[in-house]
Amino acid sequence: MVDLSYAETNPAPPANAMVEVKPTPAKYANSLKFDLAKNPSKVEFFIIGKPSMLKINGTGAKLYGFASITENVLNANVGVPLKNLTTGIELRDEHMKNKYLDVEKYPYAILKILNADLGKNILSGPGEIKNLKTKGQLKIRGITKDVDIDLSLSFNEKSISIDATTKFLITEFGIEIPSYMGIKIADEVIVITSAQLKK
Amino acid sequence: MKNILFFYFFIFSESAVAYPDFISYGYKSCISCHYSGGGGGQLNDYGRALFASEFSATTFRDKKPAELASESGFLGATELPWWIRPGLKYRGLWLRTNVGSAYQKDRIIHMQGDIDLSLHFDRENKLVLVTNYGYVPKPQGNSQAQASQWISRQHYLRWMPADRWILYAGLMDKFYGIRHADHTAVNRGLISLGHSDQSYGVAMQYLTEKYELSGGVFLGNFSQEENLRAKGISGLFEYSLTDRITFGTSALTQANYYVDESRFGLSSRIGFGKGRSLIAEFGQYKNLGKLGYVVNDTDGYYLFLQSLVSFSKGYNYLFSFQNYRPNTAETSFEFTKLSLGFLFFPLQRTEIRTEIVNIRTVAQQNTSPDTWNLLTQLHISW
Repeated sequence: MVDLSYAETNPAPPANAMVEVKPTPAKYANSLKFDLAKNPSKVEFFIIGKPSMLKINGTGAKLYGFASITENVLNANVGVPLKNLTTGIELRDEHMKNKYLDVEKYPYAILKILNADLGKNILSGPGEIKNLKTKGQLKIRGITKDVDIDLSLSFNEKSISIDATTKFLITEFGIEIPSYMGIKIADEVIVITSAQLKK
Repeated sequence: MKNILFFYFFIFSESAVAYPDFISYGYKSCISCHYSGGGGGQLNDYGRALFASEFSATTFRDKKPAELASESGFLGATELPWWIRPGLKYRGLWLRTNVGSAYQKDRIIHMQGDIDLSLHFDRENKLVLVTNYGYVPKPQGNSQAQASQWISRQHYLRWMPADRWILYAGLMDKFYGIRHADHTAVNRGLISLGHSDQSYGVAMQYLTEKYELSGGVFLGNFSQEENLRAKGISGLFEYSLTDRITFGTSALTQANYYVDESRFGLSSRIGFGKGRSLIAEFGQYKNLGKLGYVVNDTDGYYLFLQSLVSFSKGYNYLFSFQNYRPNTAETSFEFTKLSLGFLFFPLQRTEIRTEIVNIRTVAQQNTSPDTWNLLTQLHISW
């Protein structure tokens, strides 16, 4: 089976600590597994700053960990190195990483999707799935919470594209609402992850 | 006389310091950095911190952003009580006009000296009194103009009763078009929205992630004679296609004893990568004299384009193009100003702007040769 423990247990920098993908056993001939470090991916978030309705967009991180697809079932255990996120403003990044996310102590955000039913066998041919609602477990700053995930996939003979969008309240993960010199950040954050998986 | 006024409009760039160009950093709303949601005037704490840590060069300093931000207050790192925020501004100009001609002339002009004071009535700055007292230089080239003087350009209450809503009451700038650092530009001073064209009135702003709606009713500046006070309304709607692309439309109508004025503008601000922006405003303006003399009727258009391109932190290329025609009739002249230069923020609280300016007036019967000017401005914002 696919090793789903990587992202949670491996504290080392992902690039130096990738687990080799083992050959698929014959009994899982209809399944594919993906080492996300070896596939293009991106993670971004959006959060609003008040009173100016400042839209803060964090980008720059990619996904590490593994995903597996067995006919119509998706499993994923992915880690996002938070220190790679940037909002384009140095001072804000400094506050985000050191004061609020505490990336030294909690270097990863970890998302698990377990046995998500995609409703169709996506290994059998080209097609797409739009806005499929599923559940996941998100771990930030050592706190794990269930989150709703909106999944969209498009797939063909060569690759599978996955977009996963989730919204959550940062205070649920023990993060104080960021506030700096009159600008106060909203509680709700939207996180969008995208990956292009080569078969 | 007309040429003297043009000279004044197009040479001197008075400033209250507003940088709509910073949309390229994701800051599309002025209220992030200024007390006024229309931009310009005193910076708030966040604006000061951002100026120090993000927009200023680090060439002469070796400090982290957080350290620079913490030293951005009026007394540096020493915190003032939460309820009081003072500020000082100075802007001076070195100007060489008619470069290369027999009329070449150098001069130094103290364009701006402002004392700002804002008082907060609560810790979240929901209710704030914003005040200003500033120096107004005698207009250059106009011997009949009033001598330099000190006036209050702003004193208003700002109240945020709920998320998204901002209300203003008092003496303030009108909401119209793109407010930027050059208050004598064709989309500011030419259309009666210059550095000292504030008015008493009430205004509101409603902000969302996708759009910003601002508008107000005004009664004129009570420090002026009754006949000169322009009463009217103005409004601005700005839609955000993305957090770095906006499109806006503005309208203003006002009248005093002598003239009815109306303006309509379309504007856009585009950030294309961090530190690279283009702002544009195109509008129509009409002035209709009520007495048949004193004011020349106009029914013309204006165009303002400006691009700020950062080539290193705190160092930018600055390009602007301005054009206007006071009447659409074929006999009307057309005025164009093109400038290229640099805008530097070498240190916290410091701005240096240096430009080479080409001015061209084209008229059917009397086209004057191009004029070239050099100017350098120093702006200290404490």
